[in-house]
Amino acid sequence: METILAGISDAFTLVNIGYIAFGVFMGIMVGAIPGLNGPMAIAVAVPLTYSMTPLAAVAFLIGINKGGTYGGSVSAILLNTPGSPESTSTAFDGYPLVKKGKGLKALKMALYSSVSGDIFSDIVLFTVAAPLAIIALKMGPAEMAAVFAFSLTIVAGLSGNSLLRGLIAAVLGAFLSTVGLDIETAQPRLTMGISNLIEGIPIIPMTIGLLALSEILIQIETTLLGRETDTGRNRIFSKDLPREDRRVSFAEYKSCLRTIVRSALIGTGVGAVPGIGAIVAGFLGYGAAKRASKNPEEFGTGKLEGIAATEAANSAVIGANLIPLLALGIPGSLSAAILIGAFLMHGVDPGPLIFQEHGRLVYGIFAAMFLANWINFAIGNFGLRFFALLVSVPKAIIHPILVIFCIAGAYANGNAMFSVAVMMVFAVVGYFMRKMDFSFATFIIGFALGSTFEQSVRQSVILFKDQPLELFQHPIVLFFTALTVFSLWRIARTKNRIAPVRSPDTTAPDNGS
Amino acid sequence: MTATMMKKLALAAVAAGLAFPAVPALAEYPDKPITMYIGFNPGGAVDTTARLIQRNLEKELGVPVVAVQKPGGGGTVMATTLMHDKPDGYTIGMGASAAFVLAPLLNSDIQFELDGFDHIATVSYPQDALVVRADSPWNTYADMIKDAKENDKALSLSSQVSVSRLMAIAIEEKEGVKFNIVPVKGGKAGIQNVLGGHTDLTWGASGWHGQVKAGEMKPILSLGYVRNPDFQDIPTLQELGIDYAFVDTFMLSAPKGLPEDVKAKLSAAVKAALTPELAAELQSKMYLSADYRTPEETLDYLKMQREQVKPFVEKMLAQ
Repeated sequence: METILAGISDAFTLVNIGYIAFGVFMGIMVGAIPGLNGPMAIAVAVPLTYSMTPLAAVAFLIGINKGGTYGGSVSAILLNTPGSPESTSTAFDGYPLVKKGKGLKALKMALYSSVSGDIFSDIVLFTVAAPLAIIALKMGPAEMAAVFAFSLTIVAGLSGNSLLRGLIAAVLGAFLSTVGLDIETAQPRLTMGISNLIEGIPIIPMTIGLLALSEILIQIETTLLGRETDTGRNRIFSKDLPREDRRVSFAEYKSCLRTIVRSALIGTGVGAVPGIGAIVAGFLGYGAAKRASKNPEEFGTGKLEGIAATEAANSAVIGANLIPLLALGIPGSLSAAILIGAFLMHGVDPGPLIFQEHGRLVYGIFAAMFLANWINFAIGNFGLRFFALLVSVPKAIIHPILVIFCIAGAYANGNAMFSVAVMMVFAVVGYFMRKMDFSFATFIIGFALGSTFEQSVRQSVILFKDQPLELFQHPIVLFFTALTVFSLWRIARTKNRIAPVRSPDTTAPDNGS
Repeated sequence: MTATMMKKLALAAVAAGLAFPAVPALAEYPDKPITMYIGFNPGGAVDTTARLIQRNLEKELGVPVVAVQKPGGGGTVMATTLMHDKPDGYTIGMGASAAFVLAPLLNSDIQFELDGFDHIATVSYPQDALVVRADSPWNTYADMIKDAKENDKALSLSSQVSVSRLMAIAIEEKEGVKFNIVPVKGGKAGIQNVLGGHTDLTWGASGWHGQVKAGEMKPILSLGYVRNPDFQDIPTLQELGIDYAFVDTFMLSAPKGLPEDVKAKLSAAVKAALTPELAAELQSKMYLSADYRTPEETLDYLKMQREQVKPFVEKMLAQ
């Protein structure tokens, strides 16, 4: 108990609070720029922490991470160009809200649900890190394969108007994820002799092209062809907008609370298991909310719940990522892996002994994380006005700046022009996908899950090829396999039933999904 | 002196500088910042080594050393980039010997050979081990082989690099046991698989030290040429009678064609940068052993490593 109190009081120094605030601010800025993301900012910031105390260093880096995840939603909502791939589905409902003049409401919802998700997963980390880490350890190759199989069923919910086109996009994404060196033996696959491809197609430049640059192309085209139908999105602060469009009422927050808690649970679960990631968490949260909703057809038209579902899920991953890191010494994500480096720099070896050897530090970090959530809330709230200035800047100015950010962001991945070329190619791909109504969300899911799914299936086959029946002794495998079969059955049933009557004015509640 | 005179003088100085750009002998190397590629992701052992030595190198050379991350392919992306850079001493790269030794043997797409660079110095090496979970019935290599033979049991091994696959091939050949090799991405995934009971074994150069100290894992053997300095009880595979060893040594390299004086200066700077304090820091924080070698010794070392692994690589490719 003394250690806990000492650790907490360590965190509450002016210097630490200053570092956390600086980290959060930096994270939001970086997260809002397409292509720049939390892990990248942390990597750049690690050398800055050499001279700090270990607690200040880790608090600073965690602040960046938390700010970065919220920052991704700012550009997703305001510009329809997600700052980071995990905010893809935030744009689905955020941007329509901006068009309706409810941009501020959307931003606030994103902030509230992001902070709520963060707090939830932090509480889980503080209270049940050790037991949860033990459960996460049970997630072996077979379990992971089952979870990934289930995750792929959300493709159906994200396909848009055509399940077939959604599936085609997902399969293409999965196919592209197979490019690269074999993870272990370094044998090249589908690299066509291009040495830049040996690490596979880099996901960040790909998503910048697909999500951000292609959207900018579309917007430029709209402006040039004079098709613009401006609906006051440049004035989301304007006083003549009704007050309720500029704020999130308590009733609205409360009506999203179920969604937030569900997404926070999903995000925490995803974060506790190493190797799934915030991108999948965001989509899973969105897919689950849509599935649970009474009015799933309203998703994608500007529904607050859609924002809440994505942001709560992808933010909850951060705290939970530290569960395997602190309890087992295994990083759950790239940011957590970089944090390990920062810990080691300061002479702290994350792993089973960390609570004994550095208990005071760990509790200090917990307190700092909690503090970071409120600072994130404060800066986010205060900064809303500043961020939203973005949309009042004329497009002739904002588009060139965004294009430069896209190029710089892509280049920063691997410091190579090859990444920029990848981004350009996928900008064109994304442009045609938008025009032909292929879902890029399912494409990204296919890409993000394809290689890890293949890997875990391959590992499972090696482990269980001699005794396949032993799989029946793995309850987690059985549970997720059953869940997958059940989802597929429901998708098949729903599609058959509502497909013929599907039209925009369908008012019949869809109880089937 | 008036301001105009100052300006004129400054202009004259600039003009003088511009007039003789092609006389490098006048400018002592280095006279501008040096770019140091790091061939691995931030946070890992190579990255940490590079960033710790970077500060000392700056002191030794008197110019900024700018670290640029070039991760991928276990250092091969960095090596491929480096080989196309100018050999003027202003672009160098921190990588690991597996990229130079193993990658060209295993991957036909790799455009370089280990002597396609001017290697400046070896810097440090990690302490490795083959590990099992603490509650495993095996305490030694002999236990493991005996159990596998008597019960006709395949040993499952999480393997993240070809170093450990080659080890499995060497043991299979000598002992007549069978390995189930589960490819995993990154050493941490292997640790996770062993702690979670999904595979019997994993081999790694990092991540296991804390687990062993905490009593969560037991080391079985090491692939070092000598025993690990901090873990003297772990026998090497060579001591156990199998002629296979590999130490993924961290090293600083430059594009081929580096002027001799520049190479000598850089190598001497690395030697001086590896101060006893830095060595102690590497050892205590990262379980890394500082291990300086001259350019010639480094090349010989890499060639020795290649000869060592070659027979096993041939068997692996034949499979």
